[in-house]
Amino acid sequence: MDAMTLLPQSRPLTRADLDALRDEGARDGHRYELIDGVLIVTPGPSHEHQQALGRLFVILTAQCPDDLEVLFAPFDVALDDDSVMQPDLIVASRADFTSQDLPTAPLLAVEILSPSTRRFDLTLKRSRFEAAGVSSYWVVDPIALTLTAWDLVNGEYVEVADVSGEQTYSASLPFPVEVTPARVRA
Amino acid sequence: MDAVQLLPWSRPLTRADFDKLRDTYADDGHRYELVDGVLVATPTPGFAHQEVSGELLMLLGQARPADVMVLHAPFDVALSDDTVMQPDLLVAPRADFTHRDLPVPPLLAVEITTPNTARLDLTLKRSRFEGAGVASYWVVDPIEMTLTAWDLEGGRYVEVAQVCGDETFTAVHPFTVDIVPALLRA
Repeated sequence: MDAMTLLPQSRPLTRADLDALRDEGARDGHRYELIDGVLIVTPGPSHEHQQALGRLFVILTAQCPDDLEVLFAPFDVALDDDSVMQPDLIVASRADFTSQDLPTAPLLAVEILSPSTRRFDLTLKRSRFEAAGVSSYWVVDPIALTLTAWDLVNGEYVEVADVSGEQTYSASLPFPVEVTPARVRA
Repeated sequence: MDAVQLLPWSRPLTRADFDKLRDTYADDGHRYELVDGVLVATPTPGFAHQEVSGELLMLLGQARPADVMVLHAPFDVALSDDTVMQPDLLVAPRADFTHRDLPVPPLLAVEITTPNTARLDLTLKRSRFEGAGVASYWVVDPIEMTLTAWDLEGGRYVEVAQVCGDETFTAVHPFTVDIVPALLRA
């Protein structure tokens, strides 16, 4: 077999490397993201994940002001030349999008948890979004039916909600909207 | 270019997938690890990292009891079928090793940070080692000359030391040893 390499010879990866990797292969249904020059390859989502994502998209879109847009993955959020992520849902100013990416921090990033990605979503990604200045971060567990939300206060995430089942989170950021975890399924 | 499929069709990866990936592709110098079925590729470390790793290996090697081994990366620590990690240094009973891996949690895992891996080491890996029951976890920053140490208590990591420069950390676990961050670099 020819000796192929997966990545360029070891160095912190850049957006150009990620694009080349996705051009050449990587059509395997996994999500390829770059965090601080480290490549993270996560499996595609489950039925529960997609169901929750779809419902949440509808809930947010219904309340979204005209100058903002709600978008779901896969769509690149380029936080830096070594950090290109694809949150499950983002909310950002319409004026901030380009046709191929969001080249700045979104107002809100949402991750729907799965068994493989929950640890990443709750630790590494939360930390990276916080450092990038993503104003609000939500994680939704589509099995346990919970929603946890953090808002940036002086550069650090402060938990503003931790609701489950029929409890409702009345968000003020990025715009007023009510989310009830039980409604994101069935 | 031909469409190369890097991974099996989207699903949480297993150790078998991971081994096949490493068999198929030539070594590009990145460190490949599998965490909860997610593939993580980090760049090879630089000089400061290797210098500290070498010094720490010697210190631990001199202080270890005869029935305990100190190894440096790359060496597989297989925490489950979806998690194979390669901490920079690891300490475990000699009897726990196989020829190719450590199939149980080590007594101590050490990560030496780089600008690219600090976030990963302090969030995701710390959480995974805690989840696996790795009794002690140390993170050394070779630029700032700091060492932070956690021991498991009731299944959760409790910080037992945070020393800087000329300060001494007298470790109790996995065996008694004095570590002074400033002495880890010439």
